[in-house]
Amino acid sequence: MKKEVVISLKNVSLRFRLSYEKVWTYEHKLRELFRKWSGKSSIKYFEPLKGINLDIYRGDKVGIIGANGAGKSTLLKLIAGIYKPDGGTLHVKGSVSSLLSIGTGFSPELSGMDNIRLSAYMRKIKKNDIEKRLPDIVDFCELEDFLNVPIKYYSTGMISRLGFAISAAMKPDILLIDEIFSVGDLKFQKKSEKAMQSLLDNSYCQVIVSHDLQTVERVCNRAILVHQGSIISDGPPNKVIKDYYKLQGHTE
Amino acid sequence: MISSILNYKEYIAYKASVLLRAKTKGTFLGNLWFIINPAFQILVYYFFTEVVFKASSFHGQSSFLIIVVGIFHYTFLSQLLGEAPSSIRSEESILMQMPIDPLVFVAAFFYRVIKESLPSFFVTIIFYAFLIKNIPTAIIFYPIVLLVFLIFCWSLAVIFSTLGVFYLDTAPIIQLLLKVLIFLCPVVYPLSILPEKVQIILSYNPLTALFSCFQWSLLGFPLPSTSSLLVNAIFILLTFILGNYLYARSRFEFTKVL
Repeated sequence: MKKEVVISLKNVSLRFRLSYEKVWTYEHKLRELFRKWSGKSSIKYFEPLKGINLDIYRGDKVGIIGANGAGKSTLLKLIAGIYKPDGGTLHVKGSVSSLLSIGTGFSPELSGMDNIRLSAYMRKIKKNDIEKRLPDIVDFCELEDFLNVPIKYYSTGMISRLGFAISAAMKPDILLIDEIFSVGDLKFQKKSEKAMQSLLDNSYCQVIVSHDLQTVERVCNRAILVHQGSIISDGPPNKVIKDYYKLQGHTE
Repeated sequence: MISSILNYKEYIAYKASVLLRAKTKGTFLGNLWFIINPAFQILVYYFFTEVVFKASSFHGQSSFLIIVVGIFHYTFLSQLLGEAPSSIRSEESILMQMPIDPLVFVAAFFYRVIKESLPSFFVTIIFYAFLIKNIPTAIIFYPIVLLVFLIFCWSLAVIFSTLGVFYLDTAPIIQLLLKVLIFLCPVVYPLSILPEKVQIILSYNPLTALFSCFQWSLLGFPLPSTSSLLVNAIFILLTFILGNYLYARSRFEFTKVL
């Protein structure tokens, strides 16, 4: 039986203008327009992803590995819809939830409870659904006494727990994870690992970016190796990890 | 675009409410500040126009009332335009981790400014009811004028929110324009006190037309000429189209720039 493709990338490329060449002021813009007009434009681009061809099927647990700056997180953000490809086509079938960084979208002036509700609304969860899931989220993050306090007074650990609790309460079809498997102290780490496992079990496709090759080998049924913005190896995790070692110039 | 806003309507409503609540949280008077501030501002205008300068009346209405009506709408406009350039930029951390349509943040900000202006609106109505000498029949058109004003404000908010992502100069330029605009539009005076040539030039500024229409519907002042109304209606429509076009063209570049 033919497997259903849920994420499809055909010859996808992404292009960024180098940050120090970005136009931040109208004065820069005018200067750049003048340079362009005189044929001396200094704008430089780089392609963090080029010619990406990738089909991810229902049931796949794909681990993306590669060196720092290879384009792994950018690829994940592209699949999440945060970036739009500059070339090629991208199709994603189903609802996507991304765990790219925990708690960074919180408003510091608002309480923990307000941030929970806002995060849930942002994920298009309806009011009734939020109220149903709220006790579980509150119970999970173990911050009952602080939920009415603005989160600017929270510690980093508390913010991570709150963020993780919200993400763990989602029920996405496709789950995208960037290095986040557990947060908090030892006790909470165990709890969050369990929640993460349940999240992984409940979604029909996962794409995971990680430097932890053991986790990729344990959790994923497929891995891809990204190098300088291109996929250079795709297959079973043990084979791709070997390729990665070769690329890095070491043996296992 | 409309579907994005509808999909996130609960987020927009909730965000506007909690941000407003956070503004006065911990203060002794709480939400009363939203009433006290505009009321106090109006009293200051009363003191200067009626007590200090003993300003004259125009078309049978006191200068104080003209200011009360004009300043309410202008305060809304200036708050909206002043904050618009940061409405998308300030949500960078969310945009970099969730595929949310950035227009939702503009809508949440727009809705928050409307909600924040409601107490001022009621204070203005109270003063208006006490001070108006004879209510003009054109008052029935005020909701239409207000709606057109809000559509124009929305279009400007979309344009400046988009520009604010790419150009940091947008916010100070707007602040500068707002300082001039209060005198270039009939906010605190009727257009008729200006020389005829200046009136003609200014009448082709959509904000002049809108503020003149507020004075027409609420104070019984003369309606701007048909040609001016027509030109400005087209201008407002074009601004709306430009806002949508500019946003649609650049929205996928936001995350690359932020």
